[in-house]
Amino acid sequence: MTETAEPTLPVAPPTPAMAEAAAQAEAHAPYLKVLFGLMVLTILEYGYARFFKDATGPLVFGLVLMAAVKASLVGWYFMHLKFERLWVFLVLLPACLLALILTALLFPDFVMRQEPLDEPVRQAPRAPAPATA
Amino acid sequence: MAPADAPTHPAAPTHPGDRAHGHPAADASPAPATPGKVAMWLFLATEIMFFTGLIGSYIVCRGGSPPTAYSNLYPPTTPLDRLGDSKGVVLGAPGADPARAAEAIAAATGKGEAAIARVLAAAPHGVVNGLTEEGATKLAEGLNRLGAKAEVVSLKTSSWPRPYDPATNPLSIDLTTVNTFILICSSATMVLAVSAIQRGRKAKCSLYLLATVVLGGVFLGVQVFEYHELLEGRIYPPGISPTGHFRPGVSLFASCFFTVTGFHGLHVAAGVVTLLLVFLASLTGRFSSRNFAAVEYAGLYWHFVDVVWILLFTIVYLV
Repeated sequence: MTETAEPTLPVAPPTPAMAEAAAQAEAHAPYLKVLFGLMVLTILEYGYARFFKDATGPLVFGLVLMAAVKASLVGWYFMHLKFERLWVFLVLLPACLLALILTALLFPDFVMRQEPLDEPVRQAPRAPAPATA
Repeated sequence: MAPADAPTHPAAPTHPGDRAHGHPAADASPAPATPGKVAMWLFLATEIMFFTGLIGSYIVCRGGSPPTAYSNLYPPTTPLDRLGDSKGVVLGAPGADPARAAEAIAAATGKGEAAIARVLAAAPHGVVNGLTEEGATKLAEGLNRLGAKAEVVSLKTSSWPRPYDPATNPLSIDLTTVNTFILICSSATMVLAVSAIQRGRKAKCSLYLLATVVLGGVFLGVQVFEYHELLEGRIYPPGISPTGHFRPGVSLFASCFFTVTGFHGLHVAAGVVTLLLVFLASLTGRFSSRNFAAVEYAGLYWHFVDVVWILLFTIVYLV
């Protein structure tokens, strides 16, 4: 059997300095620190949701922000996006753009509704009192 | 075709400082773009689209829900036009003699045995609905005289079940927070497994993989327990379900909840099976510091599932 060369993508190989820097950074990858940060953020989310449970605006803003930070931590450190080259981001970019467009297209469905959000419960019309002779 | 034990990664460069810190080698050389890795990231990109569609649909369903879709007294989607001034009684505890409490409820409302049994079973959030103010006051007083704990409540409506509101939302945030911890821990053990095999530590890699499988299994087990409680195990007040059970057909919220978390659960199950296979392969010594593509790809998938759960936990449970 003859050895065939593995197909390679047109990506420039890292320079020794790049490799050294990445290796140094990766060797000290603060996985446990990230885990601790994720735990703290989860506890914060839990407490924040209890504290602001009746204030929809701050609740949504704060919780979505914390969830985004947590997701970014997992992606950046655990999925090693920190050490990936440009091509990974180029793969993810169209998906994220399409996701953004999809969300933007759905936005009018729940923002431009006809009825007001704080529509009160309608009272039943009361029957007129019977006329007395 | 390359043999199974062919290197998938170049030898990782070492750094003198690594040894001083107990890290003999780098975790990864700067990310070689292997075809397998490109395929994995493309797959994850499609998964991003999939979950965006699910979460987007959930947000639209929630945003488009009418302001009177859910209430603390009546089942979801009940037309509340004529019920605006109706009252209810929340039964906190049936007291020492539930039979007498049941009789009092039957006398005040004329409800059947099954409906009254649901009210008693749903305590401390049991709800007797369809009462006038006078009727509710009399019933609450009567129940309190019997040693039960009851209070009169007015009708409150919302467009979607609110978190921490036991009258409309059956989800246990406490339990799910613990489950979120478990999944995050499994993500950490996964990245430690990849790190270990990149440094050639096969036994540690296997150990971390096993920990990931166990933690993933625990996450799934808790989710199955949660589903069982919702579908069968508990009786919920009418604001959650007219039948007492939280099943996909009882409301739009229930349908959305089971769809979104169910698909995520399927992904977790697929991840656990994949990781189990990778763990078994690691026991045979198949992976090394230059051949660990399967561990890396399984890890990428597992972290993605974790990221999705972080978002779902916030959007479905907390908001």
